[in-house]
Amino acid sequence: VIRIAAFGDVHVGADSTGQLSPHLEDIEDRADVLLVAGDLTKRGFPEEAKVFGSELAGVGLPKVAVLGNHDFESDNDAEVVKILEDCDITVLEGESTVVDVAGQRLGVAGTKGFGGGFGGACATAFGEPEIKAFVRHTEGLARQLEHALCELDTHHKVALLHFAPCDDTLRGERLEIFPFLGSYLLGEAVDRGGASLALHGHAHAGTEKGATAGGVPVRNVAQPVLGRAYAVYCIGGDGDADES
Amino acid sequence: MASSLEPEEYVVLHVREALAQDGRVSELGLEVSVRGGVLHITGPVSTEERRAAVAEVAGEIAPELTVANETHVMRYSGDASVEVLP
Repeated sequence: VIRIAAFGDVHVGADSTGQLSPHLEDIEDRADVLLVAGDLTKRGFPEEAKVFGSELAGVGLPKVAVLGNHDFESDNDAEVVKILEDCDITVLEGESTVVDVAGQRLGVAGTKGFGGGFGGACATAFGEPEIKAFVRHTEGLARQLEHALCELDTHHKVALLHFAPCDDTLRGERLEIFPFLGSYLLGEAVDRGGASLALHGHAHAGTEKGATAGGVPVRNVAQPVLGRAYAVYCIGGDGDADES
Repeated sequence: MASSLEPEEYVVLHVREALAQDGRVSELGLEVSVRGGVLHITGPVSTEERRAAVAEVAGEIAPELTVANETHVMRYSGDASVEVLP
């Protein structure tokens, strides 16, 4: 069994020092890897990324993250990624990484993702260049995610996103903003790539559990949804349901 | 700053925009409404500093309204949840 700890949307700022780390103290006893589903920082400032890195410094697990929209706000995303990598956090964007866990290999493919909407209420790349650019950004990220998943040759594959790949996990959010919270294109990539699990954040008022159209479990791990510092998902076991 | 002649619906939208874009808050998911001349703001924020800033920013945008800052600082409860997937 591989135990995956996950959270997203912690929105660390200069005023956040010491808020998260106490809740991660015994995480090594509970999980084998930590995945972070974006919005690590409040506005994507390098100082905020340093605070985030120091909050995770005591976590003795492989750490993998994607950025979220907040992490792009100040146009310092490249520096943010470098700071995180210096803090031993692997940051994925259209790429994958492999983690060796308890004799099994876990593949993680990640992308921030983007919006566009879901069945019957989607943006279409038609008309003005601005709407085409919006849709094509999501299309490109979805293609990269699918490619990264397909390239993995591991026992299990997890898709790590910030934006949602299905609308199940958006329940609780206003319907009108669904197109800004995720895209079916990301779900299609998750399905085609053969993922065992997809994790995302971004939708703070959403719901934890859902699935893609192809039946892949999707979990919204935004901290306001979880109501706790992180959740643990076990994959690769005998499949007996056991929740606490 | 919003004009006192502006319809309340627009004031609500300007406050929502400010709470997202102003670096003191940067929260996109807060609910804002006006009832009986009182601007109600609800939802979770990450820190006490950001909760205080919510009232500050809203007061700057809509000085003609009383601000009811009903946001709360997100607290972590209990241990991590554990789910075994098939």
